Amino acid sequence: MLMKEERKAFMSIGIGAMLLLIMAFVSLFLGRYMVSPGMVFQVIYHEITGRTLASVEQNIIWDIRLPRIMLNILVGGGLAAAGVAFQGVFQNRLVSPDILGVSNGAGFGAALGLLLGRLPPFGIAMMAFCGGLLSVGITYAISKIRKGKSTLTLVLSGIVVSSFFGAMISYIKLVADTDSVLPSITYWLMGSFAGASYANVFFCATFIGLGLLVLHLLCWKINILSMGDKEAYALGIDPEKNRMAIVIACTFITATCVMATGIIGWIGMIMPNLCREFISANNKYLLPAATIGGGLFMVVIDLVARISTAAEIPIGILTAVIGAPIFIIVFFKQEGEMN
Amino acid sequence: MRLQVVKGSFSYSKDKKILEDLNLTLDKGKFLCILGQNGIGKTTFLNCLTGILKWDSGYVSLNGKRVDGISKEKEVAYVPQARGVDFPFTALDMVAMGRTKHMGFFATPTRRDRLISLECLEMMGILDLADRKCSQMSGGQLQMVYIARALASNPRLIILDEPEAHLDFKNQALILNRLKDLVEEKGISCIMNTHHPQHALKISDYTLILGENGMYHYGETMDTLTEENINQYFRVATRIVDLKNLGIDEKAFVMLSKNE
Repeated sequence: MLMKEERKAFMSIGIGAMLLLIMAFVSLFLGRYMVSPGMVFQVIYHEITGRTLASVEQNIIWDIRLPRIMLNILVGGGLAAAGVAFQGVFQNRLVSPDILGVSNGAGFGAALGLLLGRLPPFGIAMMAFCGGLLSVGITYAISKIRKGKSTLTLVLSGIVVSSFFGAMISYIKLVADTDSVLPSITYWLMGSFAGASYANVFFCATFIGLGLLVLHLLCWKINILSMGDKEAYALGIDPEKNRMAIVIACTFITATCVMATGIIGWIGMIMPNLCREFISANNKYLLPAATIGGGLFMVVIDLVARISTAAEIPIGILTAVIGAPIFIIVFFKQEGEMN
Repeated sequence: MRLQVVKGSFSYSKDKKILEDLNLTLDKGKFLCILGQNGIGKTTFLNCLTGILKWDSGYVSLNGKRVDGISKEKEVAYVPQARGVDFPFTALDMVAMGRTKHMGFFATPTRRDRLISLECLEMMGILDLADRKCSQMSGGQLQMVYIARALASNPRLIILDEPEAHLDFKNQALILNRLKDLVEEKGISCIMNTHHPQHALKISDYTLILGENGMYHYGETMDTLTEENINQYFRVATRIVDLKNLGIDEKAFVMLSKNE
């Protein structure tokens, strides 16, 4: 008993996953140092069988490009999935980790951690997570002051909180040691995958994976919460508690992404809306679809960032340049359907 | 299933009572309509009844047992006003949400849940809409989906907030008839808010009229919907005309042009 929409969802997820594999493979041999596809196979084969080729190709593919692509997929997928869940639990299709202020909050936490220095292991990660949670808490609290829920109130308070933490980041940069701390903060905040390493990939896979697992387990709750608190209550779930759990999972994912690659905007708003319009609104399918879509989007964008110009373009610039038009197209398509 | 409200009181501020010492009893398979002016507290009453708002004093009981927040109970379903839906869920997904109370904490709807949901869509006569997105439905279709969602939880009591508001003539009749069928055929009790005394007269067994300062009148519809009560609670001079002479087994409310 498969409904039309479910068949479509399964097919889209399958096609998306295949496209993702193909693009990941293409990204392995494309770049300023071209490697032939055959060589890529050889390198991977040799690595898996344990006979490392000490060549330039091996170094480029296995040590630089492969972790970078893995990080693309993790961060892109993570941000998109967090966007899906945030939009659902706040009943608002315009929010995303960056608009709610979570990204800047996490960025502030991490920057503060770098400034303080000498933190225990995972100290900076904890700071980023707390910063993200604090900012989404403040955003939500401000939006609740005004009675009568409106889509814009949440977005506006998100913008306020986001720019506040943006200012705090600037202040930290101002007081940071110009020789040691400032370059590392600035470099990391620009949003780049250039520093990808297997340690990074492992860190992201663990924490983003955990967050995604929680979201997936609670996917039906996200559906119910997107109906609004009153209906969620009448349908038999506690809106505040469930929302809290989901927001914590999303913040966990976002903070991890910010830790790994700096602040990357747009993807957390565009991917959820694209997948919701064209695949399914049911989070059981929407979450995996947006995760794969986000990964695919990020792999493609990072490929463009690497190969289009001599100096690598910061990824945040590209997501905005490509993301904004997509958003406008989706927005107008939706308006057309309504009339 | 027997629902009782015992000495229910509620107010938003000290100087203005909304509900005071309200008592009512509703037996299995009975239909209750709630009438009253705009802003008098009809929705507040429903919110207190379902447990979204907490009574200042008094309580609600089901089958003689006191319950806090009856809409959490499996036997009770709530139908909100059919405003537009932002998220393009299909009708089937939407109705399956009604199964949540019967599902495990991490579960998604099983095959059985979906079959029940399809049955409920069929019961409301909208099986052909199962794959349609709720964001692309008319108000009447959406209201039917909401009622199907309530049915999916297999309730003994359905609480509806102005189900026929914003609907055209035909859809109003359609919704009212479906609700009447549910009460008569399945023995489900219904409580609904409405702005139309005519509708209350047509389908309900009992009527609750809410007035200012916690004043209310509760009783069998025939005894409650009198010219005197309408005049008193709505402040509109009204005549109730029996249409029997025209061969129609109904009564009509005629608003006289001069108010008060």
